[in-house]
Amino acid sequence: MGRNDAQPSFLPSCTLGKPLDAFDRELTALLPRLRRFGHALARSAADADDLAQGAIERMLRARDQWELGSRFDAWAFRIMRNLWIDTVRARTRLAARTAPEADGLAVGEDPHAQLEARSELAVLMRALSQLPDEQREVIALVTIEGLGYAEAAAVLDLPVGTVSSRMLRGRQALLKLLG
Amino acid sequence: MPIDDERLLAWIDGELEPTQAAEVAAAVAIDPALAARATAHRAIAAQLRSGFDTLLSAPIPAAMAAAARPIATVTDLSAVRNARQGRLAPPTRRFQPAQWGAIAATLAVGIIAGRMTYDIGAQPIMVQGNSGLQANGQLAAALDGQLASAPTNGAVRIQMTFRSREGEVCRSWSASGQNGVACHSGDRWRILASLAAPTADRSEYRMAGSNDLKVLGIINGMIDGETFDATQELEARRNYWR
Repeated sequence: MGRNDAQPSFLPSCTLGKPLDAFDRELTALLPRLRRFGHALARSAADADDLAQGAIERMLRARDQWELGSRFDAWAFRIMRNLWIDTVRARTRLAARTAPEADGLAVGEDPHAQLEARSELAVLMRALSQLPDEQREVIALVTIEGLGYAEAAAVLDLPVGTVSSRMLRGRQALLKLLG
Repeated sequence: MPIDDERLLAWIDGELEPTQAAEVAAAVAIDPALAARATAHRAIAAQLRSGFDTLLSAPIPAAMAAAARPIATVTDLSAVRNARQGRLAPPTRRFQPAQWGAIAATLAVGIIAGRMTYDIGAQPIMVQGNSGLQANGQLAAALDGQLASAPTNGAVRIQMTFRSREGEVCRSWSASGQNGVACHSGDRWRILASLAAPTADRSEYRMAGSNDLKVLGIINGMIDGETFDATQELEARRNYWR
Protein backbone atom coordinates (compact mmCIF):
# COMPACT_ATOMS: atom_id res chain seq x y z
CA MET A 1 0.00 0.00 0.00
CA GLY A 2 2.57 2.57 -1.11
CA ARG A 3 2.00 6.27 -1.09
CA ASN A 4 1.53 8.02 -4.37
CA ASP A 5 4.87 9.81 -4.35
CA ALA A 6 4.36 11.31 -7.78
CA GLN A 7 1.48 13.38 -6.47
CA PRO A 8 2.64 16.93 -5.70
CA SER A 9 1.70 17.70 -2.13
CA PHE A 10 0.03 21.04 -2.94
CA LEU A 11 -2.67 19.42 -5.08
CA PRO A 12 -5.90 18.67 -3.25
CA SER A 13 -7.13 15.10 -3.48
CA CYS A 14 -9.99 16.04 -5.81
CA THR A 15 -7.51 16.57 -8.66
CA LEU A 16 -6.47 12.93 -8.61
CA GLY A 17 -9.14 12.06 -11.13
CA LYS A 18 -11.42 10.33 -8.65
CA PRO A 19 -15.03 11.39 -8.45
CA LEU A 20 -14.97 13.83 -5.58
CA ASP A 21 -17.19 11.90 -3.19
CA ALA A 22 -16.64 8.22 -4.06
CA PHE A 23 -14.52 7.74 -0.95
CA ASP A 24 -17.00 9.48 1.31
CA ARG A 25 -19.89 7.50 -0.11
CA GLU A 26 -18.06 4.23 0.48
CA LEU A 27 -17.07 5.25 3.98
CA THR A 28 -20.60 6.35 4.91
CA ALA A 29 -22.08 3.15 3.57
CA LEU A 30 -19.54 1.06 5.48
CA LEU A 31 -20.03 2.67 8.92
CA PRO A 32 -22.45 0.02 10.24
CA ARG A 33 -20.13 -2.76 9.13
CA LEU A 34 -17.10 -1.01 10.63
CA ARG A 35 -18.95 -1.02 13.93
CA ARG A 36 -19.77 -4.69 13.54
CA PHE A 37 -16.18 -5.59 12.69
CA GLY A 38 -14.99 -3.52 15.66
CA HIS A 39 -17.30 -5.39 18.01
CA ALA A 40 -16.00 -8.71 16.69
CA LEU A 41 -12.40 -7.71 17.42
CA ALA A 42 -12.59 -5.64 20.59
CA ARG A 43 -13.39 -6.88 24.08
CA SER A 44 -16.04 -4.31 24.92
CA ALA A 45 -18.62 -2.21 23.12
CA ALA A 46 -16.85 0.98 24.19
CA ASP A 47 -13.49 -0.31 22.89
CA ALA A 48 -15.18 -1.39 19.67
CA ASP A 49 -16.54 2.07 18.93
CA ASP A 50 -13.22 3.69 19.86
CA LEU A 51 -11.50 1.29 17.49
CA ALA A 52 -13.91 2.03 14.64
CA GLN A 53 -13.57 5.75 15.20
CA GLY A 54 -9.79 5.59 15.29
CA ALA A 55 -9.83 3.51 12.11
CA ILE A 56 -12.06 6.07 10.38
CA GLU A 57 -9.55 8.78 11.25
CA ARG A 58 -6.72 6.68 9.82
CA MET A 59 -8.76 6.01 6.68
CA LEU A 60 -9.37 9.70 6.14
CA ARG A 61 -5.66 10.40 6.47
CA ALA A 62 -4.88 7.57 4.02
CA ARG A 63 -7.77 8.25 1.64
CA ASP A 64 -5.49 8.77 -1.36
CA GLN A 65 -4.17 5.22 -0.94
CA TRP A 66 -7.53 3.69 -1.71
CA GLU A 67 -7.79 2.93 -5.41
CA LEU A 68 -11.11 3.75 -6.97
CA GLY A 69 -12.80 0.55 -8.09
CA SER A 70 -10.97 -1.66 -5.61
CA ARG A 71 -12.83 -3.18 -2.69
CA PHE A 72 -13.35 -0.51 -0.08
CA ASP A 73 -14.39 -2.91 2.69
CA ALA A 74 -11.23 -5.01 2.43
CA TRP A 75 -9.10 -1.85 2.44
CA ALA A 76 -10.95 -0.45 5.45
CA PHE A 77 -10.84 -3.73 7.40
CA ARG A 78 -7.11 -3.93 6.85
CA ILE A 79 -6.60 -0.47 8.33
CA MET A 80 -8.89 -1.24 11.22
CA ARG A 81 -7.30 -4.58 11.98
CA ASN A 82 -3.80 -3.05 11.95
CA LEU A 83 -4.96 -0.34 14.35
CA TRP A 84 -6.45 -3.03 16.58
CA ILE A 85 -3.16 -4.96 16.63
CA ASP A 86 -1.31 -1.75 17.56
CA THR A 87 -3.82 -1.09 20.35
CA VAL A 88 -3.70 -4.65 21.66
CA ARG A 89 0.10 -4.55 21.83
CA ALA A 90 0.11 -1.19 23.58
CA ARG A 91 -2.47 -2.49 26.10
CA THR A 92 -0.47 -5.62 26.76
CA ARG A 93 2.57 -3.51 27.58
CA LEU A 94 0.45 -1.27 29.80
CA ALA A 95 -1.29 -4.19 31.51
CA ALA A 96 2.08 -5.65 32.45
CA ARG A 97 2.63 -2.60 34.61
CA THR A 98 -0.86 -1.92 35.98
CA ALA A 99 -3.75 -3.78 37.60
CA PRO A 100 -5.82 -6.15 35.45
CA GLU A 101 -8.84 -4.64 33.70
CA ALA A 102 -12.31 -5.15 35.11
CA ASP A 103 -14.09 -8.07 33.53
CA GLY A 104 -17.15 -7.72 31.33
CA LEU A 105 -18.43 -5.06 29.02
CA ALA A 106 -18.03 -1.37 29.59
CA VAL A 107 -21.40 0.10 30.41
CA GLY A 108 -20.89 3.82 30.42
CA GLU A 109 -23.45 6.55 30.17
CA ASP A 110 -24.37 5.46 26.64
CA PRO A 111 -27.81 3.78 26.96
CA HIS A 112 -27.10 1.81 23.79
CA ALA A 113 -24.06 0.19 25.40
CA GLN A 114 -26.16 -0.75 28.38
CA LEU A 115 -28.67 -2.40 26.11
CA GLU A 116 -25.94 -4.35 24.35
CA ALA A 117 -24.49 -5.51 27.63
CA ARG A 118 -27.57 -7.60 28.29
CA SER A 119 -27.95 -8.95 24.82
CA GLU A 120 -26.98 -12.01 22.89
CA LEU A 121 -24.29 -9.83 21.35
CA ALA A 122 -22.57 -9.48 24.71
CA VAL A 123 -22.54 -13.25 25.13
CA LEU A 124 -20.98 -13.66 21.70
CA MET A 125 -18.40 -10.93 22.32
CA ARG A 126 -17.36 -12.58 25.57
CA ALA A 127 -16.96 -15.92 23.82
CA LEU A 128 -14.94 -14.36 20.99
CA SER A 129 -12.73 -12.48 23.43
CA GLN A 130 -11.60 -15.80 24.87
CA LEU A 131 -10.06 -16.81 21.56
CA PRO A 132 -6.49 -15.93 20.63
CA ASP A 133 -6.33 -12.73 18.54
CA GLU A 134 -5.16 -14.65 15.47
CA GLN A 135 -8.30 -16.82 15.50
CA ARG A 136 -10.63 -13.97 16.41
CA GLU A 137 -9.61 -11.80 13.46
CA VAL A 138 -10.16 -14.66 11.00
CA ILE A 139 -13.63 -15.39 12.37
CA ALA A 140 -14.48 -11.68 12.38
CA LEU A 141 -13.57 -11.34 8.69
CA VAL A 142 -14.98 -14.61 7.37
CA THR A 143 -17.88 -15.68 9.56
CA ILE A 144 -19.13 -12.26 10.63
CA GLU A 145 -18.14 -9.99 7.74
CA GLY A 146 -18.61 -12.60 5.03
CA LEU A 147 -15.24 -12.37 3.29
CA GLY A 148 -13.96 -15.45 1.50
CA TYR A 149 -10.88 -17.22 2.89
CA ALA A 150 -8.73 -15.77 0.10
CA GLU A 151 -10.06 -12.26 0.74
CA ALA A 152 -9.42 -12.58 4.46
CA ALA A 153 -5.93 -13.91 3.72
CA ALA A 154 -5.23 -10.80 1.62
CA VAL A 155 -6.43 -8.48 4.40
CA LEU A 156 -4.26 -10.28 6.96
CA ASP A 157 -1.22 -10.94 4.72
CA LEU A 158 -1.46 -14.66 5.40
CA PRO A 159 -1.50 -17.77 3.21
CA VAL A 160 -5.02 -19.12 2.62
CA GLY A 161 -4.08 -22.39 4.32
CA THR A 162 -3.25 -20.49 7.51
CA VAL A 163 -6.62 -18.74 7.42
CA SER A 164 -8.28 -22.11 6.94
CA SER A 165 -6.54 -23.77 9.89
CA ARG A 166 -7.12 -20.77 12.19
CA MET A 167 -10.79 -20.83 11.18
CA LEU A 168 -10.99 -24.44 12.26
CA ARG A 169 -9.32 -23.90 15.64
CA GLY A 170 -11.42 -20.82 16.32
CA ARG A 171 -14.71 -22.40 15.33
CA GLN A 172 -13.94 -25.52 17.36
CA ALA A 173 -13.23 -23.35 20.39
CA LEU A 174 -16.51 -21.50 19.85
CA LEU A 175 -18.36 -24.81 19.65
CA LYS A 176 -17.08 -25.57 23.16
CA LEU A 177 -17.90 -22.08 24.44
CA LEU A 178 -21.30 -21.61 22.81
CA GLY A 179 -22.46 -25.01 21.61
CA MET B 1 -11.44 -40.35 1.53
CA PRO B 2 -12.25 -39.32 5.11
CA ILE B 3 -13.45 -35.76 5.56
CA ASP B 4 -11.46 -33.86 8.17
CA ASP B 5 -12.99 -30.94 10.04
CA GLU B 6 -10.99 -28.36 8.10
CA ARG B 7 -12.54 -29.55 4.84
CA LEU B 8 -15.95 -29.81 6.44
CA LEU B 9 -15.71 -26.20 7.58
CA ALA B 10 -14.45 -25.05 4.18
CA TRP B 11 -17.46 -26.80 2.66
CA ILE B 12 -19.85 -25.08 5.08
CA ASP B 13 -18.21 -21.76 4.29
CA GLY B 14 -18.66 -22.32 0.55
CA GLU B 15 -14.91 -22.44 -0.06
CA LEU B 16 -14.68 -25.72 -1.98
CA GLU B 17 -14.70 -26.25 -5.72
CA PRO B 18 -17.92 -27.89 -6.95
CA THR B 19 -16.40 -31.38 -7.29
CA GLN B 20 -14.83 -31.26 -3.82
CA ALA B 21 -18.03 -29.81 -2.40
CA ALA B 22 -20.04 -32.64 -3.90
CA GLU B 23 -17.63 -35.13 -2.31
CA VAL B 24 -18.14 -33.61 1.14
CA ALA B 25 -21.90 -33.33 0.60
CA ALA B 26 -22.03 -37.03 -0.26
CA ALA B 27 -20.00 -37.96 2.81
CA VAL B 28 -22.23 -35.82 5.05
CA ALA B 29 -25.32 -37.44 3.59
CA ILE B 30 -24.24 -40.93 4.66
CA ASP B 31 -22.39 -40.18 7.90
CA PRO B 32 -24.63 -39.04 10.77
CA ALA B 33 -21.65 -38.05 12.93
CA LEU B 34 -20.27 -35.83 10.18
CA ALA B 35 -23.73 -34.38 9.56
CA ALA B 36 -24.05 -33.58 13.27
CA ARG B 37 -20.70 -31.77 13.26
CA ALA B 38 -21.76 -29.80 10.17
CA THR B 39 -25.02 -28.83 11.84
CA ALA B 40 -23.21 -27.74 15.01
CA HIS B 41 -20.74 -25.58 13.07
CA ARG B 42 -23.55 -24.05 11.02
CA ALA B 43 -25.49 -23.23 14.15
CA ILE B 44 -22.51 -21.40 15.68
CA ALA B 45 -21.96 -19.44 12.46
CA ALA B 46 -25.64 -18.50 12.27
CA GLN B 47 -25.61 -17.47 15.93
CA LEU B 48 -22.58 -15.24 15.37
CA ARG B 49 -24.07 -13.62 12.30
CA SER B 50 -27.47 -12.95 13.77
CA GLY B 51 -25.97 -11.60 17.01
CA PHE B 52 -23.55 -9.25 15.28
CA ASP B 53 -26.07 -8.25 12.61
CA THR B 54 -28.02 -6.41 15.29
CA LEU B 55 -25.29 -3.77 15.07
CA LEU B 56 -26.17 -3.03 11.46
CA SER B 57 -29.54 -1.64 12.44
CA ALA B 58 -28.29 0.17 15.54
CA PRO B 59 -27.84 3.94 15.31
CA ILE B 60 -24.31 5.12 14.50
CA PRO B 61 -22.84 6.85 17.57
CA ALA B 62 -22.62 10.60 17.04
CA ALA B 63 -18.87 10.64 17.66
CA MET B 64 -18.29 8.08 14.93
CA ALA B 65 -20.50 9.86 12.44
CA ALA B 66 -18.66 13.05 13.28
CA ALA B 67 -15.31 11.35 12.68
CA ALA B 68 -16.44 10.42 9.18
CA ARG B 69 -17.59 13.96 8.40
CA PRO B 70 -18.25 15.98 6.36
CA ILE B 71 -20.30 13.58 4.26
CA ALA B 72 -21.37 11.01 6.80
CA THR B 73 -23.92 12.41 9.17
CA VAL B 74 -26.51 10.68 11.28
CA THR B 75 -29.23 12.34 9.23
CA ASP B 76 -28.14 10.55 6.05
CA LEU B 77 -30.64 7.77 6.51
CA SER B 78 -30.62 6.45 2.97
CA ALA B 79 -26.88 5.85 3.07
CA VAL B 80 -27.14 4.05 6.37
CA ARG B 81 -30.08 2.06 5.10
CA ASN B 82 -28.24 1.09 1.94
CA ALA B 83 -25.22 0.08 3.95
CA ARG B 84 -27.38 -2.01 6.20
CA GLN B 85 -28.83 -3.79 3.21
CA GLY B 86 -25.36 -4.18 1.71
CA ARG B 87 -26.46 -2.43 -1.46
CA LEU B 88 -24.02 -0.63 -3.65
CA ALA B 89 -25.97 1.17 -6.34
CA PRO B 90 -29.53 2.24 -6.98
CA PRO B 91 -31.40 -0.62 -8.63
CA THR B 92 -32.92 -0.35 -12.06
CA ARG B 93 -35.88 -2.58 -12.79
CA ARG B 94 -39.13 -1.42 -11.27
CA PHE B 95 -42.10 -3.40 -10.06
CA GLN B 96 -45.45 -1.68 -10.03
CA PRO B 97 -46.70 -2.73 -6.62
CA ALA B 98 -50.38 -1.94 -7.23
CA GLN B 99 -50.41 -3.87 -10.46
CA TRP B 100 -48.71 -6.95 -9.06
CA GLY B 101 -50.80 -6.76 -5.93
CA ALA B 102 -53.95 -6.93 -8.04
CA ILE B 103 -52.64 -9.85 -10.05
CA ALA B 104 -51.60 -11.70 -6.93
CA ALA B 105 -54.99 -11.09 -5.36
CA THR B 106 -56.79 -12.68 -8.29
CA LEU B 107 -54.72 -15.83 -8.08
CA ALA B 108 -55.06 -18.61 -5.63
CA VAL B 109 -51.50 -19.05 -4.50
CA GLY B 110 -50.93 -22.73 -4.06
CA ILE B 111 -47.71 -23.08 -2.23
CA ILE B 112 -46.57 -26.63 -2.16
CA ALA B 113 -44.42 -27.16 0.86
CA GLY B 114 -43.65 -30.02 3.18
CA ARG B 115 -41.95 -33.09 1.90
CA MET B 116 -42.25 -32.64 -1.84
CA THR B 117 -39.11 -33.30 -3.79
CA TYR B 118 -38.60 -33.32 -7.52
CA ASP B 119 -35.60 -35.19 -8.76
CA ILE B 120 -33.28 -33.91 -11.42
CA GLY B 121 -30.20 -35.97 -12.02
CA ALA B 122 -28.98 -38.11 -9.17
CA GLN B 123 -30.15 -36.00 -6.24
CA PRO B 124 -33.47 -34.49 -5.21
CA ILE B 125 -33.52 -30.74 -5.76
CA MET B 126 -35.06 -30.20 -2.34
CA VAL B 127 -34.58 -31.89 0.97
CA GLN B 128 -36.20 -31.49 4.33
CA GLY B 129 -33.68 -29.73 6.59
CA ASN B 130 -33.76 -28.70 10.23
CA SER B 131 -35.62 -25.50 9.51
CA GLY B 132 -37.83 -26.54 6.61
CA LEU B 133 -37.38 -27.32 2.97
CA GLN B 134 -33.93 -26.58 1.54
CA ALA B 135 -32.55 -26.49 -1.97
CA ASN B 136 -30.35 -29.44 -2.81
CA GLY B 137 -28.47 -30.92 -5.74
CA GLN B 138 -28.78 -29.06 -9.03
CA LEU B 139 -31.16 -26.48 -7.63
CA ALA B 140 -28.73 -25.57 -4.83
CA ALA B 141 -25.87 -25.46 -7.35
CA ALA B 142 -27.84 -23.17 -9.68
CA LEU B 143 -28.87 -20.88 -6.83
CA ASP B 144 -25.25 -20.70 -5.69
CA GLY B 145 -23.64 -20.18 -9.05
CA GLN B 146 -26.00 -19.13 -11.81
CA LEU B 147 -26.61 -15.53 -12.74
CA ALA B 148 -30.07 -14.45 -13.85
CA SER B 149 -28.30 -11.93 -16.06
CA ALA B 150 -26.46 -14.75 -17.87
CA PRO B 151 -29.00 -17.55 -18.35
CA THR B 152 -27.81 -21.04 -19.20
CA ASN B 153 -29.56 -24.03 -20.71
CA GLY B 154 -29.32 -26.23 -17.63
CA ALA B 155 -32.18 -28.04 -15.98
CA VAL B 156 -32.60 -25.20 -13.51
CA ARG B 157 -32.96 -21.57 -14.49
CA ILE B 158 -32.55 -18.63 -12.17
CA GLN B 159 -34.85 -15.80 -13.04
CA MET B 160 -34.60 -12.94 -10.59
CA THR B 161 -32.42 -11.98 -7.69
CA PHE B 162 -33.55 -9.52 -5.06
CA ARG B 163 -33.34 -8.71 -1.37
CA SER B 164 -36.26 -9.48 0.91
CA ARG B 165 -37.53 -7.09 3.56
CA GLU B 166 -35.92 -9.44 6.07
CA GLY B 167 -32.58 -8.65 4.49
CA GLU B 168 -31.91 -12.00 2.86
CA VAL B 169 -30.87 -12.42 -0.76
CA CYS B 170 -33.62 -14.34 -2.54
CA ARG B 171 -33.86 -15.80 -6.03
CA SER B 172 -36.68 -17.09 -8.16
CA TRP B 173 -36.09 -20.21 -10.21
CA SER B 174 -37.77 -22.64 -12.54
CA ALA B 175 -36.94 -26.28 -12.93
CA SER B 176 -38.59 -29.48 -13.95
CA GLY B 177 -42.13 -28.17 -14.27
CA GLN B 178 -42.06 -26.00 -11.19
CA ASN B 179 -41.27 -22.45 -10.20
CA GLY B 180 -40.27 -21.15 -6.85
CA VAL B 181 -38.51 -18.71 -4.61
CA ALA B 182 -35.58 -19.50 -2.34
CA CYS B 183 -33.82 -17.25 0.16
CA HIS B 184 -30.25 -17.57 1.37
CA SER B 185 -30.34 -18.24 5.06
CA GLY B 186 -27.32 -19.33 7.04
CA ASP B 187 -25.39 -21.24 4.41
CA ARG B 188 -28.43 -22.82 2.80
CA TRP B 189 -31.17 -21.85 0.38
CA ARG B 190 -34.49 -22.02 2.18
CA ILE B 191 -37.39 -22.81 -0.14
CA LEU B 192 -40.09 -20.21 0.44
CA ALA B 193 -42.39 -21.29 -2.33
CA SER B 194 -42.45 -24.03 -4.89
CA LEU B 195 -45.29 -24.04 -7.40
CA ALA B 196 -46.09 -26.59 -10.04
CA ALA B 197 -46.03 -24.78 -13.38
CA PRO B 198 -49.09 -25.18 -15.65
CA THR B 199 -48.69 -28.36 -17.69
CA ALA B 200 -48.86 -26.52 -21.00
CA ASP B 201 -45.82 -24.48 -20.08
CA ARG B 202 -43.70 -27.38 -19.09
CA SER B 203 -42.05 -27.85 -22.44
CA GLU B 204 -40.86 -24.30 -22.85
CA TYR B 205 -38.91 -22.00 -20.65
CA ARG B 206 -40.13 -18.50 -20.45
CA MET B 207 -37.99 -15.44 -20.74
CA ALA B 208 -36.34 -14.24 -17.56
CA GLY B 209 -38.56 -11.64 -15.97
CA SER B 210 -41.84 -13.09 -17.23
CA ASN B 211 -41.94 -15.85 -14.65
CA ASP B 212 -45.13 -17.38 -13.40
CA LEU B 213 -47.47 -14.65 -12.17
CA LYS B 214 -47.98 -16.38 -8.86
CA VAL B 215 -44.27 -16.33 -8.22
CA LEU B 216 -44.21 -12.66 -9.16
CA GLY B 217 -47.03 -12.08 -6.70
CA ILE B 218 -45.03 -13.79 -3.98
CA ILE B 219 -41.92 -11.81 -4.85
CA ASN B 220 -43.91 -8.61 -4.81
CA GLY B 221 -45.06 -9.42 -1.31
CA MET B 222 -41.56 -9.84 0.05
CA ILE B 223 -39.21 -7.71 -2.06
CA ASP B 224 -37.38 -4.75 -0.57
CA GLY B 225 -36.78 -2.23 -3.35
CA GLU B 226 -36.19 -3.61 -6.82
CA THR B 227 -34.73 -6.73 -8.39
CA PHE B 228 -30.96 -6.74 -8.70
CA ASP B 229 -29.37 -5.63 -11.94
CA ALA B 230 -26.44 -7.56 -13.41
CA THR B 231 -23.84 -5.63 -11.39
CA GLN B 232 -25.68 -6.05 -8.10
CA GLU B 233 -26.23 -9.71 -8.79
CA LEU B 234 -22.55 -10.26 -9.47
CA GLU B 235 -21.64 -8.40 -6.30
CA ALA B 236 -24.15 -10.46 -4.32
CA ARG B 237 -22.59 -13.67 -5.62
CA ARG B 238 -19.15 -12.42 -4.65
CA ASN B 239 -20.49 -11.89 -1.13
CA TYR B 240 -21.84 -15.44 -1.08
CA TRP B 241 -25.40 -14.18 -1.26
CA ARG B 242 -25.25 -12.53 2.15
